[in-house]
Order: sequence, then structure tokens, then C-alpha cells
Amino acid sequence: MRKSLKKKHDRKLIRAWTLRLILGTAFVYIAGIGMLSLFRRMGGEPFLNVGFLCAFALMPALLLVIFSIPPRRKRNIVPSLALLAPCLGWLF
Amino acid sequence: MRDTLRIRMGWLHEWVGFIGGLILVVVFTGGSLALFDTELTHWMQPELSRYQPSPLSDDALNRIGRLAQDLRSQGQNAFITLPTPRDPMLRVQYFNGHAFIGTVYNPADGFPILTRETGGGQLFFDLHHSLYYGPFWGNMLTEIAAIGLLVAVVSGIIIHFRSILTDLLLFRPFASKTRAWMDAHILAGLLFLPFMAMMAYTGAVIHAPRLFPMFGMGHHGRPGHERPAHPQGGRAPGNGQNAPALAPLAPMLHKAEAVLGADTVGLILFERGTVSMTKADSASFALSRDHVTFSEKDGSQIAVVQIPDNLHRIGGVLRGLHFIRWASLPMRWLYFISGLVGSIMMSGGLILFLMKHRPKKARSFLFRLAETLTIAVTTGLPLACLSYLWANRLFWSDLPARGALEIRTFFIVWALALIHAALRSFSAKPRRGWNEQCAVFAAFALTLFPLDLLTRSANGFLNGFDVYKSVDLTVFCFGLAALFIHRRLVAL
Repeated sequence: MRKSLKKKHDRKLIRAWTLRLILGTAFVYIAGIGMLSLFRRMGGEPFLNVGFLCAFALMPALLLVIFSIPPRRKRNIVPSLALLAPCLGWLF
Repeated sequence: MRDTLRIRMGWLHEWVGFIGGLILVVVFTGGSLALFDTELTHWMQPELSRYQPSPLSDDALNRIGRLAQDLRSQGQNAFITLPTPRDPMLRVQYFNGHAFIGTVYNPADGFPILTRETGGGQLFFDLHHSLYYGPFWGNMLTEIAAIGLLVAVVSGIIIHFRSILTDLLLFRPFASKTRAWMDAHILAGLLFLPFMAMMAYTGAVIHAPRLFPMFGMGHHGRPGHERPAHPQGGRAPGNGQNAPALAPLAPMLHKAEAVLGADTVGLILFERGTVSMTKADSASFALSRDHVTFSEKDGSQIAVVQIPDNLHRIGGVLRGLHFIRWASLPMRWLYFISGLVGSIMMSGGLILFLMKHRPKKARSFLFRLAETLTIAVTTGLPLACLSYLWANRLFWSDLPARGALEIRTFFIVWALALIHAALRSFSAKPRRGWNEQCAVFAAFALTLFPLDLLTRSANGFLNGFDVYKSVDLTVFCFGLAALFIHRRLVAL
């Protein structure tokens, strides 16, 4: 690949990852709100403590899952998530 | 560049790590120092070195109760902290928006001890949880940084998952510069991974309502929702003669200790005609704030408030894990060292980021800005912390508003370090920025011990290893480390 083409390709990738990070962060925050609403509905205010515990475990994990999804042209999701699962398991 | 999982995770780790790292180095450094906030406050009030710990007397407590009542009638939200092994003094304190400050009293007779006004170690506590930026926006920033840390930790594990065991055993300090930094970064990250993940997670959950204000029960520091200066409804501030006589506190304390356990009460709070004898944070692993309330007028017991169930206890357990106010001294040191290693690991990550991008982008504005900020948090912040200790001893003790001046000194020195870093980063020899700040830090750290000796009563100097010598020796060790780094940077 010529140098200029490679540069162009790299920039495109970085732009896609940045977009994925920004949209992923927004999605993760909304997911956190959804989870907390669910806990409040299920068990009232005291249950919110458990909700916070779950939301703060879910948010980083979900962001990493979003970042693990491969691009459209090579959608073999299973090997990507297979590596992510033990890492998350080890941490939590 | 190929679009594989490892490369994608590497990019995520690099950028989330760098941007979050700039905040997290401050948070971890502040948090490590805040573990010894009481001891640092003690060091910053050298007048206390003359006093020997003595048990609390009933007369002293009753006397302090009346003083606190007077302060409350003048509009201050005053409360009393009882003597503990860490801080064997009686204090009447109030919250000034950033820290709890107040006057120190002798627990034996209740007479005031003239100490200098200082924010003490609480500056680091504020810096740790809100970057001294207020309880709402500052907390929100640290919350986001904590989630960033969790993301960076897991993405880091994914990048190094194949060689995780060899990375645990390998440290090559004499290999190439990048390799040595990378080894140190990975080794520290892996060894202290449980600590860092636990601290980030518990810290994020404790202040969760800041990130999700719609789920908070209180105002959680939102601008425009500050507490009124005097919460006692209807009572006119500034009119001390209208304050009702307070029943003696000592009988209330004895009754509360019969309920909560001997030597477990640490705080006496006053609110709406009641006195709350509140359990000390150090009394149990889970921070519960159980309390017994009494009538302010006649001292009769009103209620015993304890955590109702395990669901409510979760928050207390998380706070207990994060704040470790229950812990003994060795455990506190372990947390301190772990926090410092975390801070060093993140600083190493920031340096690796600069090393990676320097060959291609050394002359770009953004790279130089990144280097400026990195120097300001890695060497500028320790310099500012040291200047805070120096300012405490050099400003004369009866200077008006000297507590605020000390804090101003801290931020001025940090700003000067940032300007110096910018001047060096935007010049031809950016390495001199690190080098010079290390040299200045080493010089001031190594001479803190003589400063302490010159500005404090030598009475009881040979009595043993007290809090003053501990602070001096720890700072001396940091000074030696900075001197070593300075020598290495000169040799390169």
C-alpha cells in the first residue's frame, strides 16, 4: 500500500473508532439510566444501592463490548467476545 | 494499521488512559495523601507537639458543648469531634465549603489550644474526590475518570492477555527506555490491579448520584442547592442571647456509649433542637453513622438510629473499603503505597504515550500541550504539595486567613509548574522541564526536616517516632527518589 493511501486508511479507522467511542459512551450512559430505573421500579429507593453497583459494572463492560464488535466486512463476533469474556470475568 | 481486536483495544487504552490518566494521577496522589489527612493536619499544627494525649473529661465536654452552642447561635454549623487515637484532641469544627476547620481544645480541661489556622490534610481529600472544583462538577469529572480507569484496566488486560504470566515476571530496567517503562507500567498495573479496580469501582459507586443526579435523594452539591448557613429553622443568626441553654453533653455521651458501645462515639452533631451522638467512622468496618439523638433542652433520649438492613449496609461497606477509617496503621500504609504505585503506574502510562508519539509529532502543538500537561501532573503536583507544607511553616502563625493563603500557595506553585512545563515543552529541550522540576522537588523535600526542626518546639524531640518525624522521613525518601531520577535524567 502506498504511504499516502496507508495514512488515509489509518485516519479513516481512527475516525471510526472515535465515533464508536463517543456513541458508545452515550449508549452506555443511557443503559446505566435504564438499569437504575429498573432497580428503582423493582425495589424502591433502598434497592438503588444495588442498582449503582450493577450500573458501574455494566457501563465499562458494555463500552468494551461495543468496542469489541468487529467492522462490518469481517463480522466474526464470537472470537472477539470470547477473548473479552475471560478478561471481564477475571476483573469482576 | 489493521482493524483487529488488540489494535482497537490498544487505541482505546492509549487514549482513554491518557485523557483519564491526567485526572487520575491527581486523584490517586491526592487520595494517597488523604489517607493520612489527620496526621498531616497534626504536622501542620506544630503547636500541638507540646501536648501529651489525655483522656476526655466530662467538664471539658460540657464546656465545649456550650461553646459549640454559642457558635451555632452565631450562624455557624458547628459540631464537635471527640478525641481518637489518631487525633487525641477535642475539636469544634465547621465546613467552609472545602474542608472542616475549627478550633482545637484540650480534652482534659476544655481550654483552647492556640494553633495556626490551616486547611491541613483535608486539601488532599478535596483534591482527591472533586479536584477542588466543587462537589458537583468536580465529582462528576472524577466519576467519569474512574469509569475510564476501569475501561483502561480491562482493555490493558486484553492487550497483554497472551503474555500475562511472562509480563508478571519480567522487569528489564536496563533495556531500552521504552521497554523499561513498559515493563514497569505492566508490572505495577498487574500487581496492583485488584487494588486499583476496587478503588475505582467503590469510588465511582460511592459518588454515583453525582453522575446520575436524577437518581439522587439529595441535592448532591448541585449549584444553587447549597445548604443554608444556619439550618435551625426560625432562629435568628447572630443573636447569641436567644440560644436555649444546652443540657450537659457528658451524660448524653455516657448514655450513647451504653447503646453504641464504649469509645465508639466520635461526632456530636446539632440539628433542629436535637443532639446526635454519632458513631465514629473508625468504630466499624462498614461506615454506618449510627447515632443516638437527645433533646437539646433536657438531654432526654429521643431515638436510636441504626442501619435498618443489609441493603442499606452496602453503601457503608463500600465507604469502609474505600476510606479505610477503621484500619490500623500498617493497613493504612499498605493503601498509601498501593495508591502511590497506582499514581506512578499512570504517570508511566502518560510517559509511554509521549514516547510513542514523539518521533512523528514532536513538533506539533498538541503533542507539546500533552507533554506540558503530563509534566504538570507528574512532577508539578508533588512540587505543589510540598510547597503547601513549606507555606504552612513559613507563613507566620497569626496571619489573617492563613489557611486560605496556604491553599492559594499550593495552586500558585502548581500554576507556575505548568507555565515552566509549557516553556520547556515548547522549546528545543523538553527533557529539561522534567529534570528541573525534579531537582527543585528534591531540594525542598530533602530540607523539610531541618525546616520542621527550626519551626517547631524541640520539646519532646527525643521522645520517640511521632507524626512529625514520620512526615519528615517520608518526604525525605521522596526527595531521595527525585534526586535519583534527576541524576538519571542528567546522565541520559
